[in-house]
Amino acid sequence: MKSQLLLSYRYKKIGWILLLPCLVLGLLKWYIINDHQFLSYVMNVFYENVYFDIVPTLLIAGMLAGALLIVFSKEKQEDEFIEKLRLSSSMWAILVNYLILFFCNLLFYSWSFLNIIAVNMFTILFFYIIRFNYLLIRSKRS
Amino acid sequence: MTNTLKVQRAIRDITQEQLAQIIGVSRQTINAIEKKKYVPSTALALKIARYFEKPVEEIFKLDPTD
Repeated sequence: MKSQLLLSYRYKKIGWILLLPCLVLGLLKWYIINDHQFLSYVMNVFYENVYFDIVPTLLIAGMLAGALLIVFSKEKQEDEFIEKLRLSSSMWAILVNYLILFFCNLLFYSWSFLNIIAVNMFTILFFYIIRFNYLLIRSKRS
Repeated sequence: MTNTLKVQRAIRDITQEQLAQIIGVSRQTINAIEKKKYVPSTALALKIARYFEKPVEEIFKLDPTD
C-alpha cells in the first residue's frame, strides 16, 4: 500500500511557503507591473544579444516547485482512502484542465490564447490542490 | 456494501478518532467507511475485524446491489 512517489509531510509546508509568495508576486508582475524596466534584471546568458527577464523565470520556478511539493507530499496520516482521493482528484484536475483548454482553443486566438497557455502551465496542479483539499475537508465532516 | 461499523463503535464506546488511531488510518477513512462512501481494502477490513474481535462478515456485509 505504500506509495513510492510521495515525500514526507513536512515538505507540504515548504511547498506552501514557496508557492504563496511566488503566486502573489507572479500575479502582481503579470497584471500590474507590465513595465519591463521596473523590478527586473536583464541578464545575458549563453548567447550574445539574447536578453531575458530573470524575475518571471524565478517566479515560475518557485510556483512550479511549490505546487509540486504540495501535490507530492504525504498527508499527516496517509492511507488508502487518501490515496483514493488523490487518484480521483487528479483525474478531475486533468479533465477540468483540458476541457477548459479545449473551449479556450475555440474561443481565443493568437496572443490572448498564448496568455491562456501560459496560465495553463499551472492550472492542472492548482486544480488538483483545490479539489484534493476540498475532498479532504468534506470527508472530515461527520 | 453495508457495514455495522458505527454500531460496533458504539458498543465499544470509542470515537472515530480513537478507532482511526488504533487501526492506523486517518479519521476521514473511518468516517467515509461509516457513511458508505468508501469500501475498505481487504487488509483494512481484516484489521478492523481483528480489533472488534468479530468475523469480517459481521461488520461488512454485501448489498443486493453489489
